[in-house]
Amino acid sequence: MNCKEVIERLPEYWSGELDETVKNELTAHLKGCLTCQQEWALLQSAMNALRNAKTPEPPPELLVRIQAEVKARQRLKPVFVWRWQWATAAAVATFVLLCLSLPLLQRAREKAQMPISPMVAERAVPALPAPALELPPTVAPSKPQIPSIATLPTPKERLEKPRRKVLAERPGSERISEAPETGLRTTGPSEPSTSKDLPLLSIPSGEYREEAGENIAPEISVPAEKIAPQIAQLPSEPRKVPFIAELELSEWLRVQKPELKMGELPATPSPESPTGIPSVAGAPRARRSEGIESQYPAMGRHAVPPMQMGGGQAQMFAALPLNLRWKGYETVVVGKVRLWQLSLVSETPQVITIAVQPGERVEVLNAQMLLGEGKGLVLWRDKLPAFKEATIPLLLRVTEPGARRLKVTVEMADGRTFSWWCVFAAVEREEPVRIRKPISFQVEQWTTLDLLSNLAWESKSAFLVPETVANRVISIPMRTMSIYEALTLLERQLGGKWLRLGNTFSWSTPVPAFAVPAIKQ
Amino acid sequence: MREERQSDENLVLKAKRGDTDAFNLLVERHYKRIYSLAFQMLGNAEDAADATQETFVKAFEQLRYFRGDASFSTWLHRIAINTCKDMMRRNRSVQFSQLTPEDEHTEFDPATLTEPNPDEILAERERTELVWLALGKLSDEAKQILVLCDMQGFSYAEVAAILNLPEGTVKSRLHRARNAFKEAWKSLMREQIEPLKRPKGGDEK
Repeated sequence: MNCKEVIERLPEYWSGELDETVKNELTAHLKGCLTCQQEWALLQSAMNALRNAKTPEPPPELLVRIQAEVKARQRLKPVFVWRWQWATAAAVATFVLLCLSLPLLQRAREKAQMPISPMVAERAVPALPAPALELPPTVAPSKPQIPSIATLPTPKERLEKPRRKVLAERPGSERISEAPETGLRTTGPSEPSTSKDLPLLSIPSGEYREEAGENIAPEISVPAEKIAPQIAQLPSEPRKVPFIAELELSEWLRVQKPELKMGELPATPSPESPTGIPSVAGAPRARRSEGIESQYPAMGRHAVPPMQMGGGQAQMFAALPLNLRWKGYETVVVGKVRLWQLSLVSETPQVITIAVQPGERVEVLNAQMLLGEGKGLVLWRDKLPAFKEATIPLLLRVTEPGARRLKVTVEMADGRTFSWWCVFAAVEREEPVRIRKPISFQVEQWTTLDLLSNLAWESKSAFLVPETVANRVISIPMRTMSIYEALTLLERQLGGKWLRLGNTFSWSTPVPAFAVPAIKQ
Repeated sequence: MREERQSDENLVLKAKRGDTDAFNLLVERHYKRIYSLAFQMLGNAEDAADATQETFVKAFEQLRYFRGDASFSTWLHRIAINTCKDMMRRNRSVQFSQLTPEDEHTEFDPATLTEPNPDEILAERERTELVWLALGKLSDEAKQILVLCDMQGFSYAEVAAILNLPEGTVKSRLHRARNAFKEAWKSLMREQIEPLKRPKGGDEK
């Protein structure tokens, strides 16, 4: 064995896959050859390093990201179109079939009136559909009855009954149950003519066919009352589409202990805080800029509730009735699904709706139902279980770079509504954040929201402000200043404070000063 | 969740019927493994996350073609490997120094390594870094086989199923890949160790 051969075989030597003789030969060579020894040492160290190399854990949001993407794809799947197509196909097929088989049907009826025991019918029918696929006219007499309404499997039923023999059983019959499900009840008999490649939908077939057989048989030969109970058994509730936000929220909802919750409420600055100019914040006297609404016509105005976050006098002893905070935020990269987490802290958990209004070119993937024009998408709608803090996941996808806004609205059971604006920047690629960057102003007056949009874009940060504050007009000196300066300016003029967490800023409004003595006593 | 104990096959059946939750359970079960595979193939976290996401999206969309010939995990790994390869092809704009084929191993420089154990010189983290670097120098074929066999710990039979190759081919490719990896490792070691040696006076060189 020369060195070249030895070195070539070292990997096998290492993994112990050599025959005894070759192995001994190799060992002998290694003993006397320094070069090969070194190669051997190298191989060992390389393989050890390779085997021990630790792979980092996946980023925590990856799972949610994947699942959101899958859900988004699920929604993109043209389920409805499919069904519609099937329905059409079924209708056409029925028509053709009927035309062809009318004379036969006539005969069939005559036959049907002849005494056939239900048993016979039951057995006979399941066997028929397979040939029926190819030869409709000849089998027509029995076939038209197959997919009676009674056989329609509701989605629930589908879930409950795992199909038993589908794979093993008559593949030819697979697509029977599909057409009826499309809702084309009147045209039940048509399905055999449908083509072969039913994806996804075709799976639960074998069993339905059987059921079809069972259910149809009586139709042929047995008086109608026998069918009735069978129909009644079938769950008839409408298909319930799993509500994405529902699933996610229920997963994310965390009920927390009160003391934890209090820790989560650093938002309420004490009245003696330097910037705390009391009474400004909560008052619902926000002026609205014409600019915003003309710029974002899609975002209709929400009714301004009698009491806004942090401001209501009735709530003065309860600190903040509702408090929205950033929990997790990722820079939004154009085209990628990103997860945001907002934490909603509530003293009084009678939240009934959490909705978002996506702005232009912002898609909120985990929101589905439309609330009505200009009112946004529902993330959650129901009575939430008692909670102190709920985590609201927002799965976003943005199609173009730029400063973007979202409005999160929380509706309480007593009719009050609280809204926040989420302002953020969508970037092409992950970019480093430079908050100290200078920003220059050419205007003297701006609404908070417009200013924040600019700041978000310049600093790639995200901002969260209650709507009352968002729509206030502020005056800005026309010059260049740092982003921090601009933020401080906002604090001074609006009487609140930014809570910063990484590159995200949440606005906290002071509780009106007069409320505090009451709490102390 | 309660459903956790269901077999993959069961969940696949449900997912095929349109049950997204079942599919999500599958994702939950396998995403870490797929991520680690993707990381090993691609060498960086961002691409690995994207590849993982893409793998599952592909799996979701092609689920109906999954016939159960292999296990779901094998099928998923196959998709992941292909996704990673696609991604590498896309990313490969500049560098790809194909490693010298085995027959050029002959010339050795005995002076290359005088330290008895280079492992001691490098801290563990550095070594891991070097592993990614060395893997990056391999061909896609060599890399995938090393990752599957030596990092993911699949058996020959499993790798053969994933890559759709005969077992014999897997073995021979693996040996070649290990040698190639050793060569990449050697050149990296040289780069790492030379600067450490120099201050001491260059040893035999």
